[in-house]
Amino acid sequence: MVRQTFRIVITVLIISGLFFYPNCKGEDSDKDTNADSLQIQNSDKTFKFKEKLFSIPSPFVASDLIKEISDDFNSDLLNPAENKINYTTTSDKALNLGVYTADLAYSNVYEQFSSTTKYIKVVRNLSSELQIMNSYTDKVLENFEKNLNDKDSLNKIFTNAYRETDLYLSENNRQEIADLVVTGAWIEGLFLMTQIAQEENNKELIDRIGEQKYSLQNLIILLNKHQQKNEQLKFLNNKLNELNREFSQIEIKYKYINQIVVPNERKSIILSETQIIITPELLKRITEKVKEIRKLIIK
Amino acid sequence: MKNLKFKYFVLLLSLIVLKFNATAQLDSVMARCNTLLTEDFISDGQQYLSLITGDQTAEFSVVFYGGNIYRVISCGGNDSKDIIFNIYDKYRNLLFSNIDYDNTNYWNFQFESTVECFIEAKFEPGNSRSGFAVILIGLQK
Repeated sequence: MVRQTFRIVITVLIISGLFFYPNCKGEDSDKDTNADSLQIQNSDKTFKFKEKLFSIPSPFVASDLIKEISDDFNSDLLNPAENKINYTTTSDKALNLGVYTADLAYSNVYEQFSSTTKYIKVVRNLSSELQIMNSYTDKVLENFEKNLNDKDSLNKIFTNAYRETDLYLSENNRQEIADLVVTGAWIEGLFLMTQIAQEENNKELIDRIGEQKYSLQNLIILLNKHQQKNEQLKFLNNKLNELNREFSQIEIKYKYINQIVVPNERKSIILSETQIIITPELLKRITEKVKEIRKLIIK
Repeated sequence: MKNLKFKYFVLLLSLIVLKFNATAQLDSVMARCNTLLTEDFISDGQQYLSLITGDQTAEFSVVFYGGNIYRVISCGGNDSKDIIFNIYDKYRNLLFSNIDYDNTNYWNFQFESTVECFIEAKFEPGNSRSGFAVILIGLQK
């Protein structure tokens, strides 16, 4: 009787664990996104996300920024779809899924539909090889075909797909893949920005590059979790740390200013000022380092 | 023996039901949140949620980029106004609190310059329930 009760209690405890902590993993695994990923801070019952994931803009937001600054689409900057055959490991596939997603976003924002079509195919194939939501990506493709001439609808479809994919991977104990996709997309977005900055010398674009200082620190934290399991990631993270040393020389000054509220528009105008100080020499070093890291990723 | 098996079965069934309830609750919260991300806004590509109880606070970090208009949306529970959200800059200057606007579940922000912020989300004081707090951020096209 005691043994039976004990058996039931143990079984219930195990099942409770499975049901109430759907994302829980071993000690070395990822615990850092979504509901179960919060850590308690101090005694004031405040939960904080360990990483500032918010600071990593989606590739679609980055592409919009690029389009605002430069009217010229440059296909030579993109990672050729044909390179896909070079990516055989899971890490390579995940990183380059991010790279291609950024290229897809860049093509779409310039309404380069043949290029967009090419990149959605390669994104689909890599997603399939990584076993990411096959039915969902099929649906995205279907919507894509229906909205082929509507850049804004496509942008929305892709952005939602990116969000869903991130959530799907997080919820299915595949945080490493999710983080690599984000890393690949971020590097490609930064590569495009730094290359375009060389031609345009635009203050706004250069400021945006400088602001990536926040995102880089978060990416390094993300990858730190996985590097012990993966030598390739350790190497990549070392390179990102080298890049971080350059970014740390960027000076950011902030001044708080009272905001203006427009209640009838449900809007606040935030007037606080941030000043990014980045010298041309530093920008050049960052551009070269980003190019080197991107070359390592796309092979 | 039969009685024990029955209890075992009931416990298992209860756990399964609880699991599906949690999933259903999250789906319902997300669905409500997404309706506030109207056509003129595109998502930042991510969704942020935390499971909190009555007096706990979830905190998210975010960088809002200058020259953009963002929509911050909060959702949780069944009542569209049961989440309090506050936005601070990195020096903890309060930039916005929805308490000042009848716990509105969304607000738009025009950033003249890039600002590092914290977003706090919690249930309304006195609310002893627990559930998901969801924050979505949209960028105006």
